[in-house]
Amino acid sequence: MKLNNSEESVYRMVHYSQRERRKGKEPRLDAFKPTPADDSKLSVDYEPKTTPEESLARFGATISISSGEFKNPHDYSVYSLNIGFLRSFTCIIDIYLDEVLVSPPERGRPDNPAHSLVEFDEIAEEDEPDILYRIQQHAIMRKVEANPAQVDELTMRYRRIWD
Amino acid sequence: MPAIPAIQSYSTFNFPLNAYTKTCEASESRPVKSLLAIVKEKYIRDLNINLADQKEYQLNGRLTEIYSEIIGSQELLTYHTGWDDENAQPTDFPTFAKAINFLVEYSNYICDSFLYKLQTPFINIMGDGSVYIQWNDERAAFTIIFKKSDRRLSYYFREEKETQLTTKGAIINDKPLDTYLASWFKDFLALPL
Repeated sequence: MKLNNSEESVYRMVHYSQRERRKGKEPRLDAFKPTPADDSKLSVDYEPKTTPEESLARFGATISISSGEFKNPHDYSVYSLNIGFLRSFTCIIDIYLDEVLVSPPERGRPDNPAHSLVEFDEIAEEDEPDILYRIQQHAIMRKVEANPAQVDELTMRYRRIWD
Repeated sequence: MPAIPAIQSYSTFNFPLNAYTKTCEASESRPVKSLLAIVKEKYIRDLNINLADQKEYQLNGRLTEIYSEIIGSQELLTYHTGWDDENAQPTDFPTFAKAINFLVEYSNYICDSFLYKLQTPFINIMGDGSVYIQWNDERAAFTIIFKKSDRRLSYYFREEKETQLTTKGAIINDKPLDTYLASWFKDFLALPL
């Protein structure tokens, strides 16, 4: 399903490095751009199908590639990106729902009915500072606060699925 | 009478978002320091930066906050693959040194030539191992990316908040600084000493 309603939003969960947390910094410049391993698609959650707490808890029930352990949901913050704003960039080709339903259930891969993808075209190097800065600033204005106790409760519930 | 340095023109871009075209000029040599700057320097010792035991820089002794940021940012060189819990790449010394070289050169020049103190930026890493430097305050914002590669140019974006005038441009890595860009920093992201 294409996400075309310019009034709606998607959530992006952003990881903070220790240095960024220590210095109280905002999300890093490229937090809203796919990495080279992402096949040009940025993973987000479709806001009408989730809550900030659910989105963070799903991260907490996911295995970190680097450590092999469950991710700490408190290493992440939630930012809301307006779909109309994203679609105003010519480098964004499409935004669509891409539900993740894992059957049979797998440890570290929770279902995510809100999972969506923002598909990027290649960004020219000379355009990169401009585009990334604009998205970063848009996101900073739309940081979403989540209830930490609810995040912990949901995280434990999602992790228990495999126990 | 010293010879007037040759002027080199570079970096003209057209961009679709704001269709703004900018031409920059760079002097090939550092201008002579003002007498006042020389006198003041006699009383202030330079700050020595030994970058990861591989390269040394000297920063004007007044730039203590920038010095602290550079020293703290060396932590980025210790980030390994997957530092973001996913598949983010580490940076490398040449990329990091490009960024530090830029910051040292411009902040020294602005301090020595204009007696202004450049505000302290944030130096950070990107998921592909590139390094960026970012300033953002009520007057202006400036973001420059040093790609993890041997690219000749590093691209930047700047915004003047009051007029909403935006500019894209580039610097030539490891070349003398762009005096026009330094003047812009002085006007928008620096304060008198």
